[in-house]
Amino acid sequence: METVLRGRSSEVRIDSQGPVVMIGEKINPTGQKKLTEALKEDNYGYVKELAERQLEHGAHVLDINVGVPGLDEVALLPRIVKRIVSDFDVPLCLDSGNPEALAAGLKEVSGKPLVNSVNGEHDRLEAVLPLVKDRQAAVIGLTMDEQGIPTDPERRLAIAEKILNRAVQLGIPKQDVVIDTLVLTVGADQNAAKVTLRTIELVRERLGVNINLGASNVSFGLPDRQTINQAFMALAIGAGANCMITDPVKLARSILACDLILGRDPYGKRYIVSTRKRLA
Amino acid sequence: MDQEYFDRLAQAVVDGEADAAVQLVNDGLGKGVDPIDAVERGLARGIMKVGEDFGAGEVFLPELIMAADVMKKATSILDEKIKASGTPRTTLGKIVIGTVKGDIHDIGKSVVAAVLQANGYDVEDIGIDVAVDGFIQSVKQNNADVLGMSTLLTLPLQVMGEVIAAMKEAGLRDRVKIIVGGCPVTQEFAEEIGADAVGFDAADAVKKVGKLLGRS
Repeated sequence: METVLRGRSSEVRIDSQGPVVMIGEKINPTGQKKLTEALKEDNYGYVKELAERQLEHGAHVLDINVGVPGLDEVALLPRIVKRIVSDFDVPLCLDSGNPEALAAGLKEVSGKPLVNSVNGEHDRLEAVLPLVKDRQAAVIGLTMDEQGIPTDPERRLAIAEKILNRAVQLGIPKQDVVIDTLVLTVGADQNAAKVTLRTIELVRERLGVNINLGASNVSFGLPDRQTINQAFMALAIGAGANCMITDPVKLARSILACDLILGRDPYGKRYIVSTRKRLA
Repeated sequence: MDQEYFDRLAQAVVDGEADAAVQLVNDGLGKGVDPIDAVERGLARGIMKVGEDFGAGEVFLPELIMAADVMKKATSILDEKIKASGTPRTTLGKIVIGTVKGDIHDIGKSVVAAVLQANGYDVEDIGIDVAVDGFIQSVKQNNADVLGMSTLLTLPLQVMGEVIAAMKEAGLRDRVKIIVGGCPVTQEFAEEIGADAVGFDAADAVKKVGKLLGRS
Protein backbone atom coordinates (compact mmCIF):
# COMPACT_ATOMS: atom_id res chain seq x y z
CA MET A 1 0.00 0.00 0.00
CA GLU A 2 1.41 3.35 -1.03
CA THR A 3 0.32 6.80 0.05
CA VAL A 4 1.89 9.41 -2.19
CA LEU A 5 2.37 12.94 -0.85
CA ARG A 6 3.73 15.81 -2.89
CA GLY A 7 5.33 19.16 -2.35
CA ARG A 8 5.73 21.69 -5.16
CA SER A 9 7.79 19.22 -7.15
CA SER A 10 9.03 16.72 -4.56
CA GLU A 11 7.36 13.45 -3.78
CA VAL A 12 7.25 11.32 -0.62
CA ARG A 13 5.88 7.78 -0.55
CA ILE A 14 4.53 6.19 2.58
CA ASP A 15 5.01 2.59 1.60
CA SER A 16 4.17 -0.41 3.74
CA GLN A 17 7.33 -2.13 2.48
CA GLY A 18 9.53 0.97 2.49
CA PRO A 19 11.33 3.06 5.08
CA VAL A 20 9.49 5.03 7.73
CA VAL A 21 8.28 8.50 6.74
CA MET A 22 8.98 11.18 9.34
CA ILE A 23 6.57 14.06 9.79
CA GLY A 24 8.25 16.87 11.73
CA GLU A 25 5.96 17.87 14.61
CA LYS A 26 7.62 21.04 15.85
CA ILE A 27 5.52 23.65 14.06
CA ASN A 28 2.78 23.36 16.67
CA PRO A 29 2.39 26.02 19.37
CA THR A 30 0.77 23.69 21.95
CA GLY A 31 3.05 23.97 24.95
CA GLN A 32 5.66 25.94 22.99
CA LYS A 33 5.85 29.46 24.34
CA LYS A 34 8.37 30.70 21.83
CA LEU A 35 6.34 29.62 18.80
CA THR A 36 3.15 30.96 20.38
CA GLU A 37 4.79 34.37 20.74
CA ALA A 38 6.22 34.21 17.23
CA LEU A 39 2.81 33.51 15.74
CA LYS A 40 1.26 36.32 17.77
CA GLU A 41 3.88 38.75 16.54
CA ASP A 42 3.62 37.45 13.00
CA ASN A 43 7.28 36.51 13.23
CA TYR A 44 7.55 34.05 10.36
CA GLY A 45 11.33 33.86 10.78
CA TYR A 46 11.05 31.54 13.75
CA VAL A 47 8.59 29.27 11.94
CA LYS A 48 11.03 29.08 9.06
CA GLU A 49 13.86 28.23 11.43
CA LEU A 50 11.84 25.33 12.88
CA ALA A 51 11.12 24.06 9.37
CA GLU A 52 14.79 24.25 8.35
CA ARG A 53 16.01 22.50 11.47
CA GLN A 54 13.59 19.61 11.06
CA LEU A 55 14.39 19.15 7.39
CA GLU A 56 18.10 19.15 8.14
CA HIS A 57 17.51 16.33 10.59
CA GLY A 58 15.67 14.22 8.06
CA ALA A 59 11.99 15.17 8.22
CA HIS A 60 10.21 14.17 5.00
CA VAL A 61 6.98 16.06 5.68
CA LEU A 62 6.24 19.09 7.88
CA ASP A 63 3.23 19.25 10.17
CA ILE A 64 1.76 22.77 10.32
CA ASN A 65 -0.42 23.64 13.30
CA VAL A 66 -0.97 27.30 14.20
CA GLY A 67 -3.78 27.04 16.77
CA VAL A 68 -3.19 29.84 19.30
CA PRO A 69 -6.05 31.12 21.47
CA GLY A 70 -7.07 34.58 20.34
CA LEU A 71 -5.59 34.26 16.86
CA ASP A 72 -7.79 33.72 13.80
CA GLU A 73 -6.68 30.32 12.61
CA VAL A 74 -8.78 30.56 9.45
CA ALA A 75 -6.67 33.53 8.34
CA LEU A 76 -3.37 32.42 9.88
CA LEU A 77 -3.08 28.85 8.60
CA PRO A 78 -3.23 29.77 4.89
CA ARG A 79 -0.82 32.66 5.49
CA ILE A 80 1.82 30.45 7.10
CA VAL A 81 1.23 27.66 4.59
CA LYS A 82 1.75 30.05 1.71
CA ARG A 83 5.10 31.18 3.06
CA ILE A 84 6.29 27.66 3.86
CA VAL A 85 5.30 26.52 0.38
CA SER A 86 7.30 29.30 -1.24
CA ASP A 87 10.40 28.55 0.87
CA PHE A 88 10.40 24.74 1.00
CA ASP A 89 9.66 22.09 -1.58
CA VAL A 90 8.30 19.52 0.86
CA PRO A 91 4.87 17.93 1.37
CA LEU A 92 2.87 19.49 4.21
CA CYS A 93 0.60 18.00 6.81
CA LEU A 94 -2.10 20.56 7.68
CA ASP A 95 -3.07 20.15 11.30
CA SER A 96 -6.15 21.79 12.77
CA GLY A 97 -9.28 21.02 14.75
CA ASN A 98 -11.09 23.68 12.77
CA PRO A 99 -12.47 22.49 9.39
CA GLU A 100 -12.69 26.08 8.10
CA ALA A 101 -9.00 26.61 8.81
CA LEU A 102 -8.19 23.36 7.02
CA ALA A 103 -10.27 24.45 4.02
CA ALA A 104 -8.46 27.80 3.91
CA GLY A 105 -5.04 26.17 4.32
CA LEU A 106 -5.73 23.63 1.59
CA LYS A 107 -6.30 26.47 -0.87
CA GLU A 108 -2.72 27.68 -0.45
CA VAL A 109 -0.86 24.41 -0.38
CA SER A 110 0.65 23.00 -3.54
CA GLY A 111 1.16 19.35 -4.48
CA LYS A 112 -0.66 16.74 -2.46
CA PRO A 113 -0.85 17.42 1.28
CA LEU A 114 -1.85 15.28 4.22
CA VAL A 115 -4.76 16.47 6.37
CA ASN A 116 -4.43 15.97 10.13
CA SER A 117 -7.05 14.74 10.95
CA VAL A 118 -10.41 13.05 11.09
CA ASN A 119 -11.58 10.56 13.69
CA GLY A 120 -14.60 8.27 14.00
CA GLU A 121 -16.90 11.11 15.07
CA HIS A 122 -19.71 11.54 12.58
CA ASP A 123 -19.56 15.35 12.49
CA ARG A 124 -15.83 15.42 12.02
CA LEU A 125 -15.94 12.89 9.18
CA GLU A 126 -18.66 14.83 7.38
CA ALA A 127 -16.92 18.18 7.84
CA VAL A 128 -13.39 17.18 6.83
CA LEU A 129 -13.56 14.25 4.38
CA PRO A 130 -15.25 16.33 1.64
CA LEU A 131 -12.37 18.84 1.88
CA VAL A 132 -9.89 16.01 1.49
CA LYS A 133 -11.80 14.66 -1.50
CA ASP A 134 -12.08 18.05 -3.22
CA ARG A 135 -8.40 18.79 -2.81
CA GLN A 136 -7.40 15.18 -3.65
CA ALA A 137 -5.34 15.14 -0.50
CA ALA A 138 -4.54 12.29 1.87
CA VAL A 139 -5.89 12.16 5.40
CA ILE A 140 -4.96 10.85 8.84
CA GLY A 141 -7.75 8.99 10.66
CA LEU A 142 -7.47 8.77 14.45
CA THR A 143 -8.95 5.70 16.12
CA MET A 144 -11.20 7.56 18.54
CA ASP A 145 -14.82 8.69 18.40
CA GLU A 146 -17.64 10.28 20.43
CA GLN A 147 -16.99 7.76 23.21
CA GLY A 148 -13.30 8.63 23.47
CA ILE A 149 -10.31 6.35 22.86
CA PRO A 150 -11.19 2.66 23.25
CA THR A 151 -8.93 0.54 25.45
CA ASP A 152 -9.78 -2.49 23.34
CA PRO A 153 -7.72 -2.98 20.13
CA GLU A 154 -10.69 -4.53 18.29
CA ARG A 155 -12.76 -1.43 18.96
CA ARG A 156 -9.98 0.83 17.72
CA LEU A 157 -9.85 -1.32 14.59
CA ALA A 158 -13.63 -0.92 14.19
CA ILE A 159 -13.24 2.87 14.22
CA ALA A 160 -10.43 2.67 11.66
CA GLU A 161 -12.73 0.61 9.47
CA LYS A 162 -15.54 3.11 9.84
CA ILE A 163 -13.27 5.98 8.79
CA LEU A 164 -11.90 4.04 5.85
CA ASN A 165 -15.37 3.01 4.65
CA ARG A 166 -16.71 6.53 4.79
CA ALA A 167 -13.68 7.88 2.94
CA VAL A 168 -14.00 5.29 0.19
CA GLN A 169 -17.75 6.01 -0.07
CA LEU A 170 -16.92 9.65 -0.70
CA GLY A 171 -14.46 8.71 -3.39
CA ILE A 172 -11.18 9.02 -1.51
CA PRO A 173 -8.87 6.16 -2.52
CA LYS A 174 -8.14 3.68 0.26
CA GLN A 175 -4.41 4.31 0.02
CA ASP A 176 -4.94 7.98 0.84
CA VAL A 177 -6.23 7.17 4.30
CA VAL A 178 -3.48 6.76 6.89
CA ILE A 179 -4.68 5.35 10.20
CA ASP A 180 -3.28 6.68 13.46
CA THR A 181 -3.71 4.06 16.16
CA LEU A 182 -3.02 6.58 18.97
CA VAL A 183 -0.93 5.97 22.02
CA LEU A 184 -1.53 7.18 25.56
CA THR A 185 1.16 7.44 28.17
CA VAL A 186 2.35 4.36 30.00
CA GLY A 187 2.91 6.79 32.86
CA ALA A 188 -0.82 6.67 33.57
CA ASP A 189 -1.67 3.17 32.38
CA GLN A 190 1.07 0.61 31.94
CA ASN A 191 -1.00 -1.31 29.38
CA ALA A 192 -1.56 1.71 27.14
CA ALA A 193 1.21 1.01 24.64
CA LYS A 194 0.39 -2.69 24.44
CA VAL A 195 -3.11 -1.78 23.24
CA THR A 196 -1.58 0.43 20.55
CA LEU A 197 0.88 -2.22 19.37
CA ARG A 198 -1.91 -4.77 19.04
CA THR A 199 -4.06 -2.24 17.16
CA ILE A 200 -1.21 -1.64 14.70
CA GLU A 201 -1.03 -5.39 13.97
CA LEU A 202 -4.81 -5.61 13.51
CA VAL A 203 -5.01 -2.60 11.18
CA ARG A 204 -2.07 -3.89 9.18
CA GLU A 205 -3.54 -7.41 8.85
CA ARG A 206 -7.17 -6.60 8.24
CA LEU A 207 -7.16 -3.22 6.48
CA GLY A 208 -3.68 -3.12 4.99
CA VAL A 209 -3.50 0.68 5.05
CA ASN A 210 -0.53 2.76 6.15
CA ILE A 211 -0.19 3.52 9.84
CA ASN A 212 0.89 6.75 11.48
CA LEU A 213 1.80 7.38 15.11
CA GLY A 214 2.73 10.31 17.29
CA ALA A 215 5.47 8.69 19.28
CA SER A 216 6.17 11.19 22.04
CA ASN A 217 2.95 10.81 24.04
CA VAL A 218 3.90 7.39 25.32
CA SER A 219 6.41 8.66 27.86
CA PHE A 220 4.50 11.60 29.37
CA GLY A 221 5.06 11.95 33.12
CA LEU A 222 8.12 9.69 33.18
CA PRO A 223 11.84 10.31 33.60
CA ASP A 224 14.23 9.94 30.64
CA ARG A 225 11.47 10.10 28.06
CA GLN A 226 13.87 9.66 25.16
CA THR A 227 14.67 6.06 26.11
CA ILE A 228 11.00 5.13 26.31
CA ASN A 229 10.18 6.91 23.06
CA GLN A 230 12.94 5.05 21.23
CA ALA A 231 11.91 1.67 22.59
CA PHE A 232 8.27 2.25 21.78
CA MET A 233 9.02 3.50 18.30
CA ALA A 234 11.10 0.45 17.49
CA LEU A 235 8.32 -1.86 18.68
CA ALA A 236 5.66 0.13 16.79
CA ILE A 237 7.70 0.09 13.58
CA GLY A 238 8.27 -3.63 14.07
CA ALA A 239 4.51 -4.11 14.46
CA GLY A 240 3.84 -2.24 11.22
CA ALA A 241 3.71 1.53 11.78
CA ASN A 242 5.47 3.27 8.90
CA CYS A 243 4.83 6.96 9.43
CA MET A 244 5.80 8.92 12.54
CA ILE A 245 4.80 12.40 13.64
CA THR A 246 7.74 13.19 15.82
CA ASP A 247 10.69 15.43 16.60
CA PRO A 248 13.30 14.43 14.00
CA VAL A 249 16.05 16.21 15.92
CA LYS A 250 15.57 13.71 18.74
CA LEU A 251 14.31 10.59 17.02
CA ALA A 252 15.44 10.46 13.39
CA ARG A 253 18.50 8.41 14.26
CA SER A 254 16.47 5.63 15.92
CA ILE A 255 14.07 5.58 13.01
CA LEU A 256 16.90 5.18 10.53
CA ALA A 257 18.32 2.39 12.68
CA CYS A 258 14.92 0.63 12.66
CA ASP A 259 14.79 0.82 8.87
CA LEU A 260 18.27 -0.65 8.62
CA ILE A 261 17.45 -3.46 11.03
CA LEU A 262 14.24 -4.31 9.14
CA GLY A 263 16.07 -4.61 5.82
CA ARG A 264 14.70 -1.41 4.31
CA ASP A 265 17.99 0.38 3.90
CA PRO A 266 20.12 -1.28 1.19
CA TYR A 267 23.81 -1.25 2.09
CA GLY A 268 22.84 0.80 5.16
CA LYS A 269 23.29 3.84 2.99
CA ARG A 270 20.70 6.13 4.53
CA TYR A 271 21.88 5.32 8.02
CA ILE A 272 25.55 5.79 7.21
CA VAL A 273 25.14 8.98 5.20
CA SER A 274 23.01 10.56 7.88
CA THR A 275 25.38 9.55 10.67
CA ARG A 276 28.40 10.80 8.79
CA LYS A 277 26.69 14.13 8.22
CA ARG A 278 25.83 14.43 11.89
CA LEU A 279 29.34 13.60 13.07
CA ALA A 280 31.07 15.79 10.48
CA MET B 1 -1.08 5.62 69.12
CA ASP B 2 2.23 7.37 68.91
CA GLN B 3 3.73 9.55 66.26
CA GLU B 4 5.63 6.60 64.83
CA TYR B 5 2.36 4.95 63.86
CA PHE B 6 1.20 7.98 61.92
CA ASP B 7 4.60 8.30 60.29
CA ARG B 8 4.40 4.72 59.09
CA LEU B 9 0.96 5.38 57.69
CA ALA B 10 2.26 8.42 55.79
CA GLN B 11 5.25 6.41 54.58
CA ALA B 12 3.00 3.63 53.23
CA VAL B 13 1.33 6.25 51.01
CA VAL B 14 4.68 7.67 49.88
CA ASP B 15 5.96 4.18 49.05
CA GLY B 16 2.74 3.20 47.31
CA GLU B 17 2.28 0.18 49.58
CA ALA B 18 -1.47 -0.50 49.54
CA ASP B 19 -1.38 -3.72 51.55
CA ALA B 20 0.78 -2.15 54.25
CA ALA B 21 -1.49 0.90 54.45
CA VAL B 22 -4.64 -1.22 54.79
CA GLN B 23 -2.97 -3.40 57.39
CA LEU B 24 -1.86 -0.35 59.40
CA VAL B 25 -5.33 1.18 59.19
CA ASN B 26 -6.98 -2.00 60.42
CA ASP B 27 -4.42 -2.45 63.21
CA GLY B 28 -4.96 1.13 64.25
CA LEU B 29 -8.72 0.85 64.28
CA GLY B 30 -8.41 -2.32 66.38
CA LYS B 31 -6.38 -0.38 68.91
CA GLY B 32 -8.79 2.53 69.06
CA VAL B 33 -7.12 5.07 66.78
CA ASP B 34 -9.41 7.94 65.86
CA PRO B 35 -10.10 7.47 62.12
CA ILE B 36 -9.96 11.23 61.54
CA ASP B 37 -6.48 11.27 63.08
CA ALA B 38 -5.45 8.37 60.87
CA VAL B 39 -6.42 10.40 57.80
CA GLU B 40 -5.16 13.81 58.83
CA ARG B 41 -2.04 12.95 60.81
CA GLY B 42 -1.14 9.93 58.69
CA LEU B 43 -2.39 9.35 55.15
CA ALA B 44 -2.90 13.00 54.21
CA ARG B 45 0.64 13.90 55.23
CA GLY B 46 1.92 11.15 52.96
CA ILE B 47 -0.02 12.25 49.91
CA MET B 48 0.90 15.90 50.53
CA LYS B 49 4.55 14.95 50.48
CA VAL B 50 4.08 13.06 47.22
CA GLY B 51 2.20 16.04 45.76
CA GLU B 52 5.02 18.41 46.69
CA ASP B 53 7.71 16.13 45.31
CA PHE B 54 5.73 15.70 42.10
CA GLY B 55 5.57 19.47 41.76
CA ALA B 56 9.34 19.61 42.22
CA GLY B 57 9.86 16.97 39.51
CA GLU B 58 11.29 14.43 41.95
CA VAL B 59 8.33 12.09 41.81
CA PHE B 60 6.88 10.85 38.52
CA LEU B 61 3.35 10.37 37.29
CA PRO B 62 3.01 6.63 38.00
CA GLU B 63 4.23 7.21 41.57
CA LEU B 64 1.68 9.97 42.08
CA ILE B 65 -1.10 7.73 40.76
CA MET B 66 0.10 4.86 42.91
CA ALA B 67 0.12 7.02 46.04
CA ALA B 68 -3.35 8.37 45.24
CA ASP B 69 -4.63 4.80 44.81
CA VAL B 70 -3.22 3.79 48.20
CA MET B 71 -4.75 6.89 49.75
CA LYS B 72 -8.13 6.04 48.21
CA LYS B 73 -8.06 2.45 49.42
CA ALA B 74 -7.07 3.33 52.95
CA THR B 75 -9.44 6.29 53.34
CA SER B 76 -12.40 4.28 52.07
CA ILE B 77 -12.05 2.04 55.14
CA LEU B 78 -11.66 5.04 57.43
CA ASP B 79 -14.46 7.05 55.82
CA GLU B 80 -16.97 4.35 56.75
CA LYS B 81 -15.91 4.58 60.40
CA ILE B 82 -15.99 8.35 60.29
CA LYS B 83 -19.48 8.34 58.82
CA ALA B 84 -20.66 5.87 61.45
CA SER B 85 -19.27 8.05 64.23
CA GLY B 86 -21.31 11.05 63.08
CA THR B 87 -18.48 13.63 63.21
CA PRO B 88 -17.74 14.56 59.60
CA ARG B 89 -14.20 15.18 58.39
CA THR B 90 -13.56 18.83 57.82
CA THR B 91 -12.29 19.72 54.39
CA LEU B 92 -10.95 23.00 53.07
CA GLY B 93 -13.68 23.19 50.43
CA LYS B 94 -15.57 21.34 47.75
CA ILE B 95 -14.14 21.46 44.25
CA VAL B 96 -15.74 20.22 41.04
CA ILE B 97 -13.22 19.67 38.25
CA GLY B 98 -13.36 18.41 34.67
CA THR B 99 -12.00 18.63 31.11
CA VAL B 100 -14.35 20.60 28.86
CA LYS B 101 -16.40 19.30 25.93
CA GLY B 102 -14.41 18.61 22.80
CA ASP B 103 -11.35 17.40 24.68
CA ILE B 104 -10.62 13.97 26.08
CA HIS B 105 -7.25 14.76 27.69
CA ASP B 106 -7.42 13.33 31.15
CA ILE B 107 -4.04 13.40 32.82
CA GLY B 108 -3.41 17.06 33.57
CA LYS B 109 -6.83 17.50 35.07
CA SER B 110 -6.50 14.27 37.09
CA VAL B 111 -3.12 15.30 38.44
CA VAL B 112 -4.54 18.65 39.57
CA ALA B 113 -7.48 16.83 41.17
CA ALA B 114 -5.16 14.43 43.01
CA VAL B 115 -2.89 17.20 44.27
CA LEU B 116 -5.86 19.33 45.42
CA GLN B 117 -7.23 16.32 47.25
CA ALA B 118 -3.84 15.78 48.81
CA ASN B 119 -3.97 19.31 50.11
CA GLY B 120 -7.20 18.76 51.98
CA TYR B 121 -9.90 19.65 49.47
CA ASP B 122 -12.88 17.48 48.74
CA VAL B 123 -12.61 17.00 44.98
CA GLU B 124 -15.28 15.73 42.61
CA ASP B 125 -13.59 14.79 39.33
CA ILE B 126 -16.34 14.69 36.70
CA GLY B 127 -14.08 13.43 33.95
CA ILE B 128 -13.43 14.48 30.36
CA ASP B 129 -15.45 15.88 27.45
CA VAL B 130 -17.87 17.51 29.93
CA ALA B 131 -20.58 19.70 28.39
CA VAL B 132 -21.83 22.98 29.88
CA ASP B 133 -24.79 21.25 31.53
CA GLY B 134 -22.56 18.64 33.13
CA PHE B 135 -20.59 21.33 34.96
CA ILE B 136 -23.70 23.22 36.08
CA GLN B 137 -25.43 20.06 37.37
CA SER B 138 -22.38 18.94 39.28
CA VAL B 139 -21.73 22.34 40.83
CA LYS B 140 -25.34 22.39 42.06
CA GLN B 141 -25.39 18.81 43.28
CA ASN B 142 -22.13 19.11 45.15
CA ASN B 143 -22.73 22.60 46.40
CA ALA B 144 -19.24 23.37 45.15
CA ASP B 145 -17.08 26.23 46.41
CA VAL B 146 -14.80 26.07 43.40
CA LEU B 147 -15.19 24.99 39.79
CA GLY B 148 -12.12 23.92 37.84
CA MET B 149 -12.05 23.52 34.06
CA SER B 150 -9.25 22.22 31.89
CA THR B 151 -8.30 21.72 28.24
CA LEU B 152 -5.13 21.03 26.27
CA LEU B 153 -6.66 22.14 22.96
CA THR B 154 -7.56 25.54 21.57
CA LEU B 155 -11.00 24.87 20.08
CA PRO B 156 -12.64 23.72 23.35
CA LEU B 157 -11.48 26.92 25.08
CA GLN B 158 -14.74 28.57 24.09
CA VAL B 159 -16.65 26.03 26.19
CA MET B 160 -15.05 27.55 29.30
CA GLY B 161 -16.64 30.90 28.47
CA GLU B 162 -19.96 29.21 27.83
CA VAL B 163 -19.84 27.48 31.21
CA ILE B 164 -19.16 30.78 32.97
CA ALA B 165 -22.08 32.40 31.14
CA ALA B 166 -24.32 29.50 32.14
CA MET B 167 -23.12 29.81 35.76
CA LYS B 168 -24.27 33.42 35.74
CA GLU B 169 -27.58 32.51 34.22
CA ALA B 170 -28.14 29.81 36.83
CA GLY B 171 -27.40 32.34 39.58
CA LEU B 172 -24.35 30.35 40.73
CA ARG B 173 -21.53 32.62 39.67
CA ASP B 174 -21.43 34.78 42.81
CA ARG B 175 -20.95 31.93 45.22
CA VAL B 176 -18.59 29.74 43.20
CA LYS B 177 -14.98 30.60 42.40
CA ILE B 178 -13.77 29.53 38.98
CA ILE B 179 -10.25 28.42 38.09
CA VAL B 180 -9.16 27.36 34.61
CA GLY B 181 -6.06 25.63 33.33
CA GLY B 182 -4.38 23.67 30.55
CA CYS B 183 -1.73 24.29 27.95
CA PRO B 184 -3.35 27.09 25.90
CA VAL B 185 -4.85 28.97 28.86
CA THR B 186 -3.26 32.32 29.62
CA GLN B 187 -3.94 34.94 32.29
CA GLU B 188 -5.31 37.19 29.56
CA PHE B 189 -7.72 34.56 28.35
CA ALA B 190 -8.94 33.82 31.88
CA GLU B 191 -9.67 37.49 32.48
CA GLU B 192 -11.41 37.82 29.15
CA ILE B 193 -13.89 35.01 29.91
CA GLY B 194 -14.32 36.16 33.52
CA ALA B 195 -12.61 33.30 35.37
CA ASP B 196 -11.13 34.09 38.79
CA ALA B 197 -7.73 32.47 38.29
CA VAL B 198 -5.47 30.27 36.14
CA GLY B 199 -3.62 27.27 37.53
CA PHE B 200 -0.43 26.95 35.50
CA ASP B 201 0.42 23.62 37.10
CA ALA B 202 -0.88 21.46 39.94
CA ALA B 203 1.04 23.28 42.67
CA ASP B 204 -0.02 26.65 41.27
CA ALA B 205 -3.65 25.48 41.22
CA VAL B 206 -3.45 24.63 44.93
CA LYS B 207 -1.98 28.05 45.69
CA LYS B 208 -4.58 29.90 43.65
CA VAL B 209 -7.53 27.94 45.04
CA GLY B 210 -6.28 28.70 48.56
CA LYS B 211 -6.15 32.37 47.68
CA LEU B 212 -9.62 32.35 46.13
CA LEU B 213 -11.09 30.83 49.27
CA GLY B 214 -9.24 33.33 51.46
CA ARG B 215 -6.87 30.80 53.01
CA SER B 216 -3.54 32.35 52.21
